[in-house]
Amino acid sequence: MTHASADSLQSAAAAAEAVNADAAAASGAVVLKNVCKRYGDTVALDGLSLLAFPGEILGIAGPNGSGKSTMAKILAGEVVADSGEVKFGASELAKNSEGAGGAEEAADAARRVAIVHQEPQLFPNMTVAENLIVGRERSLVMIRRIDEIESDLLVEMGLEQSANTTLSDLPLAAQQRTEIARSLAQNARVFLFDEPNSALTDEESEDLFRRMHSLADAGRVVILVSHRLHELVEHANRVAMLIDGRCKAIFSGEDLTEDRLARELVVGAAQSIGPGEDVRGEESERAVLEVDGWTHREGRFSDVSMKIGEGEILALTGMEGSGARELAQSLAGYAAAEGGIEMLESSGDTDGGGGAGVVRSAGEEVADVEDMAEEEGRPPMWKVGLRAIRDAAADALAKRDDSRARLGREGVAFVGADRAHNLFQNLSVGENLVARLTGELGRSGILPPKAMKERAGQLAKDFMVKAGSVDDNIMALSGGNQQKVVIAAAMATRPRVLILEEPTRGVDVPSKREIYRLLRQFVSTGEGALLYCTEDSEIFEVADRTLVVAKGRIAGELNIGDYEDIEACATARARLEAA
Amino acid sequence: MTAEDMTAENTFTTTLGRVVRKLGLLRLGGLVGAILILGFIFAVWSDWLFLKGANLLVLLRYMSTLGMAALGLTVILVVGEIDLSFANLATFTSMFTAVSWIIWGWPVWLSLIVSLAISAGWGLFNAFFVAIVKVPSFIATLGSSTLILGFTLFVSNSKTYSPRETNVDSGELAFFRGLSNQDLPGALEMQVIWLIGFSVIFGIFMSRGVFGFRLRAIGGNEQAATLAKLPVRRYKALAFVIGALMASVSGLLDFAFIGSVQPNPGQSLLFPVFAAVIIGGASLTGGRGTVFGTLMGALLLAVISNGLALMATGPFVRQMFLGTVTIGAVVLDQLSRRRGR
Repeated sequence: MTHASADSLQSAAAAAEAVNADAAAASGAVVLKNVCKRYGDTVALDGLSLLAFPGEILGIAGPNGSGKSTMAKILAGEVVADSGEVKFGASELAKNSEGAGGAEEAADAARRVAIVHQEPQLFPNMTVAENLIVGRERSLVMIRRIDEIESDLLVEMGLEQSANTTLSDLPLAAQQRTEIARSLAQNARVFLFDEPNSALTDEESEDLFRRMHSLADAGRVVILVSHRLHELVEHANRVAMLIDGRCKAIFSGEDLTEDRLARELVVGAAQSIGPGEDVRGEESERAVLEVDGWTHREGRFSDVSMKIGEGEILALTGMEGSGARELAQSLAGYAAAEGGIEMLESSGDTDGGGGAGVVRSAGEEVADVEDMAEEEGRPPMWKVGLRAIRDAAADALAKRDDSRARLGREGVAFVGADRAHNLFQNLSVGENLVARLTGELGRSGILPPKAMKERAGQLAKDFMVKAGSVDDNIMALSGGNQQKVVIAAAMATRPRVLILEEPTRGVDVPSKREIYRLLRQFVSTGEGALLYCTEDSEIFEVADRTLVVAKGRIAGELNIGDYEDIEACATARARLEAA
Repeated sequence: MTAEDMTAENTFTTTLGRVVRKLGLLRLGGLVGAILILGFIFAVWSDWLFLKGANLLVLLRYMSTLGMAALGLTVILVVGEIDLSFANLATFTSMFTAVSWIIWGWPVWLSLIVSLAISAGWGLFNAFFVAIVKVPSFIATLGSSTLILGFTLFVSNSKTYSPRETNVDSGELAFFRGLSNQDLPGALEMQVIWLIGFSVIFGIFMSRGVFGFRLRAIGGNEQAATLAKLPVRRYKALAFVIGALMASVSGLLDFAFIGSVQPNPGQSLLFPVFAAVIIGGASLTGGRGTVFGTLMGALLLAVISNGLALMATGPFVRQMFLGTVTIGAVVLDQLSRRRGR
């Protein structure tokens, strides 16, 4: 009960803050007051009130679908709120800049909110210096050189060496710094960092956080949206918890601890799912998928031998370039590799008897599903001839044929890391859910709308997809719910092996737990799952076993059950990676 | 608030809204409205000549020619590709039929079958470059369009052919002309019946079929379709073959009706067919397009062409009108989608 009273205290604090909004605006704060926004049937913001003061870092936490991205878009002027107020107070910075009148400032507000994205929104085909100049060319005739202020900014951001480098040739961290420099050159007062470091190394992240602090120290408003609670605790002065489109609570001072945030997140999420259950699978003798001497065609990995057991969740980990990602893709059939591969044919879910057969093949292993389906029964001569011609043509084209055109391996479902590559943005939530089931639902060639909708509704319910209706466009959902749709669509095909690349990248804690639970449920009937992951917490929470890949070889194996906590597990992983 | 609560709360408003959005009724409503208004203007302007039965039949016949090729092109656009070669291909198939029948003395059915087979092969030829060699379809079909035009000129010796004026078998001539000319009740043209038949088949498979669903999925996001194990290459090939066949059928039926074929009229089909499909709501970036929309697009263009021809305004007015209407349609589409969000 003590928790409950603490909660109400915090809510009261949040409410009190809203009342003082007008006073705060005068001091240069960013004020959101009762902001509402709907997308179709989905309520994104439901009366959000929030203050962000100059000189502080305001952290924003919240589960997927709580309205974080919508808030960011409204602040940036990309989206207009349905109702409510958004005010940018006249700050010291604005007063100092010559002749900034009230109306002019309002018009300028959108430009002065700088959003630093995970993926920088710049001009990848232009150089760093050109990126600073775009939109402020000042001359219609000649491209000017960067002026003193801009070159100072480049030095400040550590970019002076790469001023004339094409942006796309630079690492992500440098691109983000370019984005910050560009915003500073435009005299932005409000900086919103939206999951800025999810693709950065630890060192790069530290550097980014240092820059955030110096922006705040210079009197700018800094807002940090993140799923990583420890970073919020470490760097933010206050953290606002967004749940269901409202500011549920604000944490600061002593209350601002990782535990408090995590509890609020889990308790406050629409579906309270309880603590992560720790049910590891029994170790199985039989492998659902086994490879031997497995070698990537372009040498990203070579001579790999591994197996995925029945009922096992196996994680592959390794730095970018280690070959781990390519290994996972090749097992799904989306990257060309050769060697021995053995796959258990689908057995009855419960009878462990001799019903299971084994498909064994060696050598070239990039056959597509069409080929394998035809192998039942003896094909007529003309088919054999046709196939020979086709194989010859395929061989000739193999070098140019990128893996995208492949159909993947039968019995394996794959979900890639980039959500944009997994979703059909022109289709509805329901259509996305059943996109992989069209063969099954429409045997006659016709898709019965009722059956489709029923199936989609069932899947949405089973996978706790939070959507107004399955008929809504998929883009109306929040990122985490889109990810659930993607995973649901893959699991719905009942594959023998499910291969996921970074399944919870950019997903909040409750959704992560849900996804882990669904994975565990999925393998409980004897299927196997393989994850390519880069986060120690994920490895520790969900995997039974982890293979560490370094320099194209399996450097070692961790049995996750042997480790007491994340630190021990992470240390062991790091040691293997370095060896 | 759970998903169920939200659904219950807004059932009425959203169901209606959803239906409107889903069918794009607003947009189609605008299209139908435009057709009616233009029709009315032409009717008044032409002293009601426009609404005479004979004229409406001419209008419908032109709509059929456009519509059949447009149905095929819709399939190609929905899967996310483009085809610039269909118009020249349609000329080639007609020309090949004429030459093989009249000059080489083949039986007409053989000429027709071989022509259509060549046409399907041409679709595969396009698909090979697009889906396997991965040349952008704009470039691939721009090239193949010019190539097939070359074949047309080669086969025809740049001459016009009219089977009637030659000594082909009269039974065969009757059969061939019968494809487009039949004594139908109400003096309805056979071509219109063909269009209705194809529209029903396309309508079923595009809106209710696995075929249409997968086309939209592939056109919407090819990468996701690959991961979902949809047969991307096969569907692309199929789309190009269907597009080629429909254009050829449209061309052959026109040939059968008119009774002669010139080596280079195909170009005049290219723009109106594209315009019909785009006006009908298909997207050049793939994933969007419906049979009904395309038919309405074809009808609108037929109304404009026919009305202006009736008024004897001269060809330049017709071209200006076509251009304006096409741009207008795309602008309206953009506006309606922005509001939809």
